[in-house]
Amino acid sequence: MAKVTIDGVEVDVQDGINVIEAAKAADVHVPHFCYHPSLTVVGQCRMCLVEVEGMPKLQAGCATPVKDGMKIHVYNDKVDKARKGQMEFLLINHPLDCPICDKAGECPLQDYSFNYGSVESRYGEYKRTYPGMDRTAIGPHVVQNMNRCIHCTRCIRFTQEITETKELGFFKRGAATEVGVFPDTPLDNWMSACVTDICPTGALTTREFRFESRVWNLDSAESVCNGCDVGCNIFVGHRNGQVFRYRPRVNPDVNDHWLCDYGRFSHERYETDRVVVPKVRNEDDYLGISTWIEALDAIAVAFNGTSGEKIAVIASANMTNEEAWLAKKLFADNAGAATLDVMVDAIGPIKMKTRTEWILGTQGAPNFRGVQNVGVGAKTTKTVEQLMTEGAAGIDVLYICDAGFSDRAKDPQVIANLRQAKTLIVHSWDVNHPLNEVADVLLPATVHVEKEGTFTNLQGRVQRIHQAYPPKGQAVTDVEIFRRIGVKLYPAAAEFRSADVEEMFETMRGDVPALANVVWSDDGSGAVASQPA
Amino acid sequence: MTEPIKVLTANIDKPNSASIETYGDYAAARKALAMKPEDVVTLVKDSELRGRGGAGFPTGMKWSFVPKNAPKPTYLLCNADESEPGTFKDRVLIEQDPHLLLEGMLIAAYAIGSCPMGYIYIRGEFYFGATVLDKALEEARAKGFLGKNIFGTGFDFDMTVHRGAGAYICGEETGLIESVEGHRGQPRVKPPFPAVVGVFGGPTVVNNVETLACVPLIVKNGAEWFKGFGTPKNTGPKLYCVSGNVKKPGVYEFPMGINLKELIYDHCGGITGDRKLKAVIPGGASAPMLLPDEIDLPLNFDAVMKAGSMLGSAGIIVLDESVCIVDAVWRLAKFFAHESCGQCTPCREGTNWLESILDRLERGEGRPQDADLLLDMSDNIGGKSLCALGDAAIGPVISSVRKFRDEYVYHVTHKSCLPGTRRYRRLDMPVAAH
Ligand SMILES: Cc1cc2nc3c(=O)[nH]c(=O)nc-3n(C[C@H](O)[C@H](O)[C@H](O)COP(=O)(O)O)c2cc1C
Ligand code: SF4
Ligand code: SF4
Ligand code: SF4
Ligand code: FES
Repeated sequence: MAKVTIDGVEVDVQDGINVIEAAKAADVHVPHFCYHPSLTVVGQCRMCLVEVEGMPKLQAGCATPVKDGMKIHVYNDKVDKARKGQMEFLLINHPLDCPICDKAGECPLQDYSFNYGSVESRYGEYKRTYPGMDRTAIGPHVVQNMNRCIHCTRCIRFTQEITETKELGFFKRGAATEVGVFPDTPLDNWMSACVTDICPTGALTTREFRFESRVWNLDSAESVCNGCDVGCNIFVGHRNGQVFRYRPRVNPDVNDHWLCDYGRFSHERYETDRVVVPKVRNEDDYLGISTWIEALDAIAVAFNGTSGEKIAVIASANMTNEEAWLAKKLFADNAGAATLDVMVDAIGPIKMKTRTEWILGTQGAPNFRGVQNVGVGAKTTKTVEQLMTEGAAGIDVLYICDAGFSDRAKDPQVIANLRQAKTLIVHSWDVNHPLNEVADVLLPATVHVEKEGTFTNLQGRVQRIHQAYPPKGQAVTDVEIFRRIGVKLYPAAAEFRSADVEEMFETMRGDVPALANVVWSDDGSGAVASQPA
Repeated sequence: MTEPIKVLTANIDKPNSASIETYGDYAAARKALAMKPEDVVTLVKDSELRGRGGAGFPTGMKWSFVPKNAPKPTYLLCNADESEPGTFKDRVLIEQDPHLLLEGMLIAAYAIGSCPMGYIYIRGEFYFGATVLDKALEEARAKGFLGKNIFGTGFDFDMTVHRGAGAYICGEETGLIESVEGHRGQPRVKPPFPAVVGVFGGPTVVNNVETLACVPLIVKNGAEWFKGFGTPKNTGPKLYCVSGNVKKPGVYEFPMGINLKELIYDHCGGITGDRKLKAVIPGGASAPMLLPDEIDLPLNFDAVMKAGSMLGSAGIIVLDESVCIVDAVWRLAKFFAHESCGQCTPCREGTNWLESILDRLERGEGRPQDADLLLDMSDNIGGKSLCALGDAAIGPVISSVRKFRDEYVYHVTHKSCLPGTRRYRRLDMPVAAH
């Protein structure tokens, strides 16, 4: 440990960490551009200059390790002059086109300009431009505007040190230095869009989000990507019930600062018309719009007309722990369903980097492990696989908790096999899903950004997702669907009285060993799961 | 009058001076390899040899910074990038007496310890020098002076010549290291310092050609002999490169500390056309200018520093009264802007801005605030950049604005150069891309 003084505040920090990190302990922000905690230190932007007592020159905070007894000044006149000087240098050739720049509103260059920039420019020369490099697609997702670049090399280092794909480099030198891709080497790797997050300017933006929305007009919800079982922490950027983008939410233990491109853009699957009302098949074999009451009645008729051995339930690895737990309560424990199982499609593998190591996502849904943990699939007469391939003949009620439980559920043969059940009940949110057409009861379901609850990732880490916006139309979350069915079929059962998922989680601790010892991290958003031995 | 000496340059006028037959059998290296490495370091420390590459850092001390028992091998890099404008001394040694350098490197490698490999990083333009060095290396290997088990002492060492592509910044030691590794020539942030983590991750010593050439002489003749040249802390024979408006430009060897005025007027024959002296740049392009009344001083590290400039690479550039100062400074600024590697903010943006303003002043488009802007901006570059190129770039600017402010003002008010001065550039010359 080292005792250092930062702007008069004495703090104990780990010996040898840099001044930027040490200052955080004193709650002092050292302005910086090129420093990034997950990339090597290069000391290039010179924005982080600080005064260290006893050293004649100002020192780069990113490249200066603290030593015991160091006295550091982050804010004094000398540093201020230097910092404003660097800011001026960065801005003389910057187009300052914030009004049409997608980064505006969350741009470190813009923020520091407010703090350290000058209203009047002393620069009376022509601005440097990079003709032909102001709207270049340098890869499938990333668009470059070199005029806005401040040469911090974060993007270059990302491709060198994280993906190790090395598509980007510095070209030319001096004031003409440019960042670009090597010839015939587009920025096309599985995490390419991360460069747009770490770019401190609008020089790199994603093709998908470009010109879609001013960032301050977006609301943000803390959630988890459901692309695979890594469970990267995200912010959902949304407005008016529409997702505009996912952004990584820093979690050093899971995805650090990163997202894979597949996951980042996986919300595009939600850009479809939605199932917004329940439907029930009538005597004329017509699947017509119904009320929730009619739909629940139809479900009750189906369940009351059979017994547990003839009930089969296909859960989904897209369900939250709470949904899965309540499904198990409803179908296995109360209805006595003989078959309750879950499956997951394989994906990738997708490589994701925590702060220290690589982890591999191999499942195409976020919560296979969590759904199994609550007991789904533990005791089942048939597996999902059997239902899909051997058919559901002899089953009275086949309840599919999520039409998207597998991509194979779109296969006509599989659909025909599942349809062999006497009554087919399906939750679905995608209006185009082929299972919808064959259902006897179709319930409008929700996508994961409309839900509250938890997912358990491949590490066994339990992570909360938060609702970005309410469900569409008459859709409700699976928790609410199961609760409504439970109240109707088993009015005496206590577990269906409340749909409060946080309360439910506490109850689940007593029931599910894997959840018993979960400790929430400070902000309560990303959970740290401590597994039972 | 101080007489020129022939110590470092002792061999250069001999016929076939570059061949090993002329040079001899590496007696100094034989002597050094029979000593303990620490004792060689101590000897060099005692000689008070200071680096000839520009900073004047004590060489023995630099060698002693190399950690013992590092997990990776140590490397010795010879800095033969010689690209500071006004500097052309290393070239003479490389082309005329390469074995002096090779012997110096052999001794240095032995002294710093666990150093199996040396690199001579030579600027691309020195093609001839590179061929001379390659030939000399062949000769030394043939004699067994390089390779395995040198002189039967069990010491293994070899070296190779690495040609650069002609970038000034590759003369900066960490830029040089990057370039040797095959990367883009751009300096590294310190710490770690090269002595701890340098080329290929191993501890690395970077020394200038002339520095290394002094080493065999010290080993052969002793530290006291070496200190016999010059004054305490500023010892040894020294090569001075004189260029600009003097009658006899060239490389001169003197004991460290020749008087600058004497050098210009007595040894170099005075100013061309017997015109009046206007300014002297005493240590390569980056050294602040001295006025005629400031040049009565010994050319050694400490005295020039005290006079507000630096000895640097001892490239003395003489400017006479016919030179337009703004034009001269513009040229220097253009050099630095062109050679900036572009990675750090103050140098990438600042050097280019400096050049633009100076260019405008020369074109008669100066503004009253320009002189102060140049000074203030220089202050935002100096000491703020990642490597010393930023500091180098402001040397001529700051000193000229302070010392020739009237001439700057004249450019603004009259939209032309001072009468009687000339610029060396046609103003319709296109401004080249970097
Ligand atoms: C921009 C810049 C350019 C330099 N160019 C050279 C050069 O061409 N030759 C050289 O010997 N040293 C050059 N140096 C100095 C080297 O960084 C280094 O200090 C020197 O090679 C060390 O050798 P010495 O201790 O023997 O002087 C340069 C330094 C800077 C900052
Ligand atoms: S494009 Fe962005 S991240 Fe890359 S160097 Fe420029 S400013 Fe930095
Ligand atoms: S690695 Fe998995 S969880 Fe992370 S962003 Fe990609 S798909 Fe989403
Ligand atoms: S000072 Fe100039 S040459 Fe040195 S690192 Fe910065 S940009 Fe490159
Ligand atoms: S953050 Fe330190 S130089 Fe960029």
